[in-house]
Amino acid sequence: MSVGIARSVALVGLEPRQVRVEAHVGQGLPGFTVLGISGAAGSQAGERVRAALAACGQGVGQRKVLVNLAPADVPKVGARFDLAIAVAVLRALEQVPARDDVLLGELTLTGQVRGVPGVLPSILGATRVTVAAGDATEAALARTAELLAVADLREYMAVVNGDLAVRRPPAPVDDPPQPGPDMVDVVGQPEARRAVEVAAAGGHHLLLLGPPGAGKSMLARRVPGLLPPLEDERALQVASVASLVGRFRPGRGLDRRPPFAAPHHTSSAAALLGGGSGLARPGAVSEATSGVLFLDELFEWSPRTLDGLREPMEEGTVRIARAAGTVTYPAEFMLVAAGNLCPCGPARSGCRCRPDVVDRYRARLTGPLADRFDLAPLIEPVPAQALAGPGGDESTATVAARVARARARALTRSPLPNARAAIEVVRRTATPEAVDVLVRAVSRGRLSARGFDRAMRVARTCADLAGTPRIAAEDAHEAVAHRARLDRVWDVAA
Amino acid sequence: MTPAESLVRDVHTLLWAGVTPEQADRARERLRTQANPVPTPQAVVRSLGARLPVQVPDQVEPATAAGAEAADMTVLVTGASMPWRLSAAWDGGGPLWVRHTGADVPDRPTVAIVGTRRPTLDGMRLAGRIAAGVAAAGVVVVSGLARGIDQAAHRGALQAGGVTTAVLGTGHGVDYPGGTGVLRRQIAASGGLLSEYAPGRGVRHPHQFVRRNRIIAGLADAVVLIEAGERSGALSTAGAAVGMGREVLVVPASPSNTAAAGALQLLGAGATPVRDAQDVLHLLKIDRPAAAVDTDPTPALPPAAAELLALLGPIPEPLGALAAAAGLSVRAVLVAVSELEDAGLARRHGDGVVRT
Repeated sequence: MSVGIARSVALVGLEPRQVRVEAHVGQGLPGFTVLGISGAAGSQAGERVRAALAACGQGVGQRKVLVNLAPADVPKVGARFDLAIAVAVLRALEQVPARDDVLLGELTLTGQVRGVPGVLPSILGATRVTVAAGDATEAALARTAELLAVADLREYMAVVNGDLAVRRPPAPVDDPPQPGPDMVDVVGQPEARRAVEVAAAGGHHLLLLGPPGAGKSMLARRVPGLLPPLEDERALQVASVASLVGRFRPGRGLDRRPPFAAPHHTSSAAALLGGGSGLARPGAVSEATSGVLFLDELFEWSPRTLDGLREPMEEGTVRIARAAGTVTYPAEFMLVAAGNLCPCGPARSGCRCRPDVVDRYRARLTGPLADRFDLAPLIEPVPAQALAGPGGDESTATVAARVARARARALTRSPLPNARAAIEVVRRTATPEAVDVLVRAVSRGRLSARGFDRAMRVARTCADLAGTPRIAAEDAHEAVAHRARLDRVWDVAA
Repeated sequence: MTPAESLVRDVHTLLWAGVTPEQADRARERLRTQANPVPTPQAVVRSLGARLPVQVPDQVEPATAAGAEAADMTVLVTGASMPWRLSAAWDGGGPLWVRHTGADVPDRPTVAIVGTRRPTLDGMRLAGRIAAGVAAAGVVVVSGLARGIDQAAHRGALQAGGVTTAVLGTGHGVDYPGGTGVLRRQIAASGGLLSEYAPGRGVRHPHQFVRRNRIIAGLADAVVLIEAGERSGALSTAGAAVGMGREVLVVPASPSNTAAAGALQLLGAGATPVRDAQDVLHLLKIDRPAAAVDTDPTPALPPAAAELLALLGPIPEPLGALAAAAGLSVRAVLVAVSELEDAGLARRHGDGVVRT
């Protein structure tokens, strides 16, 4: 009896770590022991694999089976190593030939192979991969040289022994993606439409203010449709996060639509930023990477939770430390938030709140929180006759074309959108008149000092939309006007 | 005992015994006779007798424990020491707690400027300008320290270097409305703060503020109303003013301005319209001109901004409506609004844009 070796992969965040599975089948007190995996997961995996092997006619009987997952200090979570353990045992029993494929799959007691979360990020960069049949289309996105998908353990044995042809993974169903909600549905709101267009063109953060029912969420849900389709690398990253949280839609090809995440305002910091016991799982900020994170009812969120957004917004990643290890997830989202102007949410009847309550409510939008946004359009209550009439405004396709042109112009300066590009690159293109406008806005208290750079970036985007190489005074004026509600709007006293 | 000392003792007697101003008013009404038109505090206290929490001794030391905040600067006035306009209009009025840290103010014409707690930006500005104009001409500006028009009037008078007096709806030493500490200190040093409630009394009943309004009316020769809603407390000031034979002046507003609906009703009922400080001074027969309002020549504007400026007024116009009315793109409107703000000709306010 010799030692059988199989390869698998553990995930630390989105980062794959190679795991070597060694199985020794020998004489001794009968048993099936799994080492190198902490907690009850090891013994559970052992029992499952033992039953699955027996179901396939390869029972280990009254022998001592010792399995080791190395390196031992890589955190190993879930049942994804079942298939590798079973194959290592089969190799030790010399029932299948040795191969250097990476094995990922959970086993049922009858020997079937089930899919596991996080297949795509695990196998990125691997050359030979074996996964469950249910994960075949997801694994195909990684473009590995040799992909084997098996429905059960017997099929694996038959294929590697040459008794059965390799099953072709089913071609992804290339259904045309459902058209998202269209801007044509938005009635009126010229200011908000312009702000949404500018935000989409530069990747700027957007705060929609207005009474309930005026269409804030409606507009927010139309923002992803304005962003350009994702490139390969980004689309794979988005799919990897979706796979890890179990949101990957089986049987579909690579989704290039920018993601949209809308956590509820009672969400915990862990749900928003990532967390959980053991290794932290990705939160809404990571699900929204390369897309839109929508926070409705911004003023109802706990300030503590929102504070946690600061680092992801600055760095584009979120790093979460837990006892079991520190993981890093991508978090390059565009923030779209919505809020009422006062706690009662005045519909058409006018506000009935006491002035000091309104002051306190609005005070939540001062300082650090306001500094995180670039544009704050007001969503006006829609007049009844406008609701009945036809939309008639521009469609998503029209606006998206302008956004794409502006983004293409920005790409000639920097690989990043204007919201993230180096500020020197943006500042270099500003005319002295434009800088003057911003300086005057600061001196009359319309812009905060921190708002200065942000307004400069928005002005750059306005110039990109206008198709001009330099930032003109007009662009700076528009940027200041878009920020008006963020910096000094709440002081009523003249 | 000097008359002033006996006066302080009298009023202390009432307050120390726990007589509320309302109780005192009713008791005086009951006790008034032909021979004794103004009953003494001792008589008032005796008549209330067992209903009071404290038995009153014959001699009461002037209380020092009453004032939580700088009691030494808070004095009580009643009877002959009351402001003459007030005692003339409101017999037996008082007592009043007065906090006045500045120099004595000689008797001058007095105007009350009152209005809504939720004014438009235009209303705030009007209140400030009229207060500054009349204060610069030597008129004392009285108001109620409430948010909105009241505070704008106090501030306007102070900025013009004039004298302003506030009548509080609470006792002294209560930070109400919140965040007015600096303003109250300034007013205390100017024309003083008045209250008919004992120091430390907070907001116990909304009626306190309505009662306060009759004192505002009583102190003034004329009451100027700027933006009062249909149920604004400022209307009760106007009502009290009519009852005391004071002039009621109203600054007309646009009918679309709901913040001024009550003021417009008063105009319909016969109040005198006034446009500015000059009008108020003219009605008070004061000849000194109000401070001239400096009018800058309008700087050269881009055509879109000039066109937009023509559409702006005192009522906030939403950006969308402006774009539709001017036939401009939203970008053009945003740019023009920022240009106008830059030039100091317009201002973003709440959900729209107003002319300044």
